Amino acid sequence: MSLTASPFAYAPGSSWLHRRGAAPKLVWLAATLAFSLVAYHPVPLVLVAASASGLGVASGAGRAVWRAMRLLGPLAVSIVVLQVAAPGSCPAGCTEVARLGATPITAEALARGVSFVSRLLAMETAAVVLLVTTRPADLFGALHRLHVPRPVALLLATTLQLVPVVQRELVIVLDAQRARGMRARGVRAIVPALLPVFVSTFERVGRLAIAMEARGYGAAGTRTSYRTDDFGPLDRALTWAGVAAGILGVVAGVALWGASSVPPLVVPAWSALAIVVAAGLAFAVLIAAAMVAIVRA
Amino acid sequence: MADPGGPVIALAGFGFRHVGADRAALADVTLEVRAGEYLGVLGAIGAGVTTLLTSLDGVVPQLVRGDASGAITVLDADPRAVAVAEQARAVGLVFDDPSLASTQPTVAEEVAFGLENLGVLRGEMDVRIGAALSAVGLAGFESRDPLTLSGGELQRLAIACALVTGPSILVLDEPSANLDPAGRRSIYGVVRRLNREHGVTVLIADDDREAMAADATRLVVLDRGRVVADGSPAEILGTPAVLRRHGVRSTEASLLAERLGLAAPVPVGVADVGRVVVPRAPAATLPSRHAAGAGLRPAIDARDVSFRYRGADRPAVAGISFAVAPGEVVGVVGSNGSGKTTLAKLVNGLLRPQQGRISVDGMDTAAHPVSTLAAHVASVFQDPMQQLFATTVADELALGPRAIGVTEARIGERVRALAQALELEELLARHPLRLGRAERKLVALGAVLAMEPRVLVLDEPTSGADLRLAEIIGRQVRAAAGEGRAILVASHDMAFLGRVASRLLVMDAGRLLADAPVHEVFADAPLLALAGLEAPAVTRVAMAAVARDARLPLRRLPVSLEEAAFVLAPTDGSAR
Repeated sequence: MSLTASPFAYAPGSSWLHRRGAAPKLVWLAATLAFSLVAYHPVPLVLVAASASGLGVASGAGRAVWRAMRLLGPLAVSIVVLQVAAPGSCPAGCTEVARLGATPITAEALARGVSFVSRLLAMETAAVVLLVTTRPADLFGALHRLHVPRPVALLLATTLQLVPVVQRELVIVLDAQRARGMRARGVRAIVPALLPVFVSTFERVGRLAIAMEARGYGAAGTRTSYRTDDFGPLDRALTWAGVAAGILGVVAGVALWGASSVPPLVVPAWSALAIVVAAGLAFAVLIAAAMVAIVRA
Repeated sequence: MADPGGPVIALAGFGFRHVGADRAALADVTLEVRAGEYLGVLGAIGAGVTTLLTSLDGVVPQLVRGDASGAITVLDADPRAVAVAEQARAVGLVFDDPSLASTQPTVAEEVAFGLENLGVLRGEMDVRIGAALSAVGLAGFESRDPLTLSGGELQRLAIACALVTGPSILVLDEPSANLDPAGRRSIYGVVRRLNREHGVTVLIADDDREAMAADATRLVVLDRGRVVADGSPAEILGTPAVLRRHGVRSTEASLLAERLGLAAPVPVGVADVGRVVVPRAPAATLPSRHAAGAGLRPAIDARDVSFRYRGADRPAVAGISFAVAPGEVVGVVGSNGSGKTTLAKLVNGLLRPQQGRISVDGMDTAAHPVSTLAAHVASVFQDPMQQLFATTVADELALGPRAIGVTEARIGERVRALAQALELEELLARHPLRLGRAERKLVALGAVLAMEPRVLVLDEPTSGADLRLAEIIGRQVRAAAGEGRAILVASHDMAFLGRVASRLLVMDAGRLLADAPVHEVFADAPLLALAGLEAPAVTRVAMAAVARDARLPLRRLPVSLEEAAFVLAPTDGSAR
């Protein structure tokens, strides 16, 4: 029952991507993150985001990816506004293409904004596709396989499991607010709900920690593993391919698509204004929509 | 190794005070438990029961900080000196929240978690997992996702997780909380078998007094951290007056026996009491439970209501129609997942019917925002934590009335009256989230009563309640009904519903199996079996008495202690 399903929660399925091990998916995510950190040119970054989205859609998790991106997209788009409001320096001089009140809009700020949006979208899309096609517990096993220290792996896995728990708590508390006649919506509703949500979440975390200790977690000696090795040749090949893609991506990102590869976005004034206003509006409207979605979830 | 026949657990003058606490949670506890015992631990909220149980595997004081004093040994070792994780080999701990044992993708992996932590070789794991799952009746569930299990199955899985590390002592803290009667029975069946057939020493704290009376070999009672009684279930539960002094409830059957004047120690089990009572002759007639507002416009009017959650394979509520009159208390009963909570949310407007219509106090819930409906229908959620928002108890009680525009003068009157009725006067300046569980529950109830709604919706109001809390809640429900409020109570607590409800809605898999007077439902054994429910203990005592002497039929079976005392009498020679 998806009563309180998180937009980032696992979307069950049996697609090719669902059936792949979590370890190769994690390696490919790491490769994407590494590439997105060093590459600045929007074209390859948008291609990466589109490829990840395509994989998500082909896996039957398109709706889950869309739901998650509805929340994350505005955050990425808002970067354009931030770049315009606080533009970086232009070593070769800035090219002003328009003005929004007293604020100049420069071609360099627009280009940086579009670049940052592309980088964030590439990272967010890849991460979301991984989350919605991989069971949290499998992620835990994959982290173990990738030799991530057990406490770190467990922390990551339980944090992922807590996301739907916190969301469920928030929905119940917001329901309780409304049932008591409180009319606040959006942020004004969420602020007073935070204390009970966090208190009950921390209580749950405390109980979970005690329950895990009582089941031997943290015992001295070597830990064994029940999970049999279902890491097939295809997953093994994909893992190494991911490692290779990551290395190639970083090299190509630095050599071909670094910061200097992004040309100023010289566009007509009306286009520049339209981009900034649309980004601002999109941010405001979509954040409001996300709040409503949370309240109504 | 522990001395064969000697105590496996020994506490001598053991005490514990939480960091910053006014008083000790445990004080001078001296207690011995022998191998193979089944020990029930009773106590009101705050008596120190959980502290005692979690001291046995070192959670107190290693993970719950405070000052421990005196001596404690478990299997000849001091649990304070053994890491909690290592103590898992000696003591298995089961909590009230079974979802704490649903962290892995499959049942087998969940059970394996403890073995992995203790470094058990992979080759041994399957055998041990199989044995643990068989012991709790979950053989064949290995590949199931724990999240797809019922509440009872999930709690049995939690027991398997505790057992798999091979402890000889099993500690269970409120294992049947929030479970329906069928789930409770399954848990107690498993624990009984582990104790009797596998020799596991059991320490258990739970509200199910009937199960304690039937299964435990010994009971201890805690009051303000001290052991105040220690004896057989017959001795302890057979003296309800003594238990009452310590804020602890006995079995409903023993309370009836006490009420009928049987000499202490009174019999405690349903069958035992059923053997020593008879229907009064001539058969007394119970007064009917008609609501004062019967015949008036219904305060809740639901017609052909359906609701299905997005992605669910069946409706949570399917084509349900019922009405509740002003002043009427109607119970909603059914197993876990039967749709009780969904129905409650449809009534208070948090969910909108996808088919059909619900009107509350004449208002269509689909046509008004919840905040507007809140002036007419108020809800108490199962977990009070989720509905407390203010920084003091006084503000919490005033918050709702303020939100719907009640004048400050009137709010002040309501807050004072409610604080007195709910015994919260000393706590008005405290932060609600810093109160204990019982007080939080009372504040949550007071916060909705302060809104003086025409309709009150209560979701499991007595879950986790001790004697005092249950009495206050019952008193307030009756008072609210007496003021003409319509009350809908979703609950697994049949004894509570027997006391306060006039009618029951029996639900199963989203459907309404019956909408009938409480006396009819509790007398309908096939219906109860179909819904996975059981009649209150006093009703079953009356059934046993009637079955024994068919010459004295009861026109109507009693469903509450008061009614049972009215229609039943002790057999000759059993009275004091």
